[in-house]
Amino acid sequence: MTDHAPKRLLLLGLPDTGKTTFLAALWHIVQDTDIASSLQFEKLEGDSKYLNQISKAWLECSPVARNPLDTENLAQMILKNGEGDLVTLLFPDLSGESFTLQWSNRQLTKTYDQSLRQATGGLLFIHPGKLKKPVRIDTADPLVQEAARGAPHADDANTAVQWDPEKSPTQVQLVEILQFISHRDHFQPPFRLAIMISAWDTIARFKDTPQQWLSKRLPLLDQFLRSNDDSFQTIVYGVSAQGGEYSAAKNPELLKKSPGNRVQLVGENVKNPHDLTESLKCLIT
Amino acid sequence: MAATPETPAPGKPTGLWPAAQAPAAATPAPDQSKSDLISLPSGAELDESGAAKLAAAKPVRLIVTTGPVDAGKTTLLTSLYELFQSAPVANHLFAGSLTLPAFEKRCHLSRTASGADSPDTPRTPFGDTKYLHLAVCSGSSPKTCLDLLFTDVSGEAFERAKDSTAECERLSFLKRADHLLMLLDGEKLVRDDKRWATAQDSTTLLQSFLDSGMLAARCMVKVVFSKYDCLLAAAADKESCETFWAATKKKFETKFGNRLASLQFAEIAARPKRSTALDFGHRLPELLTEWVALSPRSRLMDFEPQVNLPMRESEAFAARHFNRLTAS
Repeated sequence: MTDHAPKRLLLLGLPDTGKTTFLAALWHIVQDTDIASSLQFEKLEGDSKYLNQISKAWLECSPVARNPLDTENLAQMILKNGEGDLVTLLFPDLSGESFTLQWSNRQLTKTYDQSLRQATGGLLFIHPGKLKKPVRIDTADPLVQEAARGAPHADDANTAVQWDPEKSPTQVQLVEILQFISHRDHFQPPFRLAIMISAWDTIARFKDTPQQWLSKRLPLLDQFLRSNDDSFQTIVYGVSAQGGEYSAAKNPELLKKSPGNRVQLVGENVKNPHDLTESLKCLIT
Repeated sequence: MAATPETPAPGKPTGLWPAAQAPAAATPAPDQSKSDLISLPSGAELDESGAAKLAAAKPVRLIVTTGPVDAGKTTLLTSLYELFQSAPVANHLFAGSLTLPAFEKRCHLSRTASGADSPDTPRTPFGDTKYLHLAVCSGSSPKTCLDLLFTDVSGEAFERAKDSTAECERLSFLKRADHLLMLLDGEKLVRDDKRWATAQDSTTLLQSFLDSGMLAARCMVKVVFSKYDCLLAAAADKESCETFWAATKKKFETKFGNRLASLQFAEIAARPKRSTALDFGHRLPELLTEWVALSPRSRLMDFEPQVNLPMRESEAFAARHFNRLTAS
């Protein structure tokens, strides 16, 4: 048994945003002696089956299996920091659908709430390719605008589809998920939060820093975080845990890279871009 | 969008927070003891009880939007919310909302996700008073945050209130209003056959608010030409429209200028459809700035002597004393 209190870090995010892939890559990185990570693997304890399974898929450049709804895999890593102190990290890995359901069904699971109560901090994953944006009709198509300007007021309600909460903008859903956290009775601010912009390799060409990308692409979330900096202490990272497109046809070079070097972490004060544990430092110190 | 009429119980006041602080009718809560799920707040528009709870917990500023059906009351609110979706508004940051799904639902018909060809706003059904909530923070340092509550009431309620002080007395949220917007439908103001009645209805409504004693003396009133893009698009009649609007403003000032703590005017286009000369949310940032900056309540708390007035201290005391009596 370890003689120190474990740190529980929540993996937050809507479906398919890279939470489990990050976990798989992290499990490899802490064990990879070629990567000088700030947190290193110390020893195995308890059940590592889940971590080994997802890490294997990640090493083979296969899609990491998504978590089914209503399942929570608790991943445990016993690590040591640069000073030789033991650090036990617990990651309750929930399905992204469970976060969607918080928004759309207005419910959360008791196990998630329990994890929240015990959490030291969290990582909020956002996938740039999966954003739902609030596109107004008047900005969508000039031809539509022109027609609407001259036409008599039409009753579009008959042709419109019903409101579906799941199609609400990503930034709105994420703000609500954070509000749910901060409105829990047991919430103790400040909650330390790493915003992880996943698949960073796909947007790195725009030359924005992760913080700039967040401000431009998810301005409502950015405003919320700036307004609520007493509740959420945030730092924004760009992360490419997968390293690139998995399809061999599209990305033949990926398999040739050593797994640790596929990984990229971008953000303020990141010293080693392959060391994913740098994104955890601000959450556990 | 057609709304299902929903009539409140006769004689039941709509919008009196102190009354709403009494325990609300119990809603059967789902049995969660056997479930692994915890219910979260619905995020729907707040009712009296929800608004009262918020007001009890922290200072809120109540913005009441009034006007007939289809004047653009809800669109004003959804457009303000939409502005925050893309950037801070007039250096104010979005700081949260207890009614995000309610805003989203109201924005749906103006977004491409609805599949509609032209933007629209669902009509607010006639019924009990509902509130939308928006918290904002100053973008500059030091950070100050403020909770804004907006009424979302059917235009039908105001059409009734115009015709009957008894109906007006049911709109008890008026007594708590910090800012009151009277929307005049710009689409009608530019039409020769509609403008006179539109202006008349608005003055009658304000008269009813005042004569029924429902409007707090401190409330800051703004008479608003909504859908201002209609005026810009009415090329041939633009001058006569402007003349009419100027005359309407003068009429308001003459009739109500001495009965209100503040009476101002504005032209807005929350979602301009008829002119490209105006940006989306035209003049809404300015309105927001006023709502945040100007608080009738804090103004009343300012008991410092106004040194620039050539007045004896006894006269100044009397003036403050009677101002307080009038306001209460």
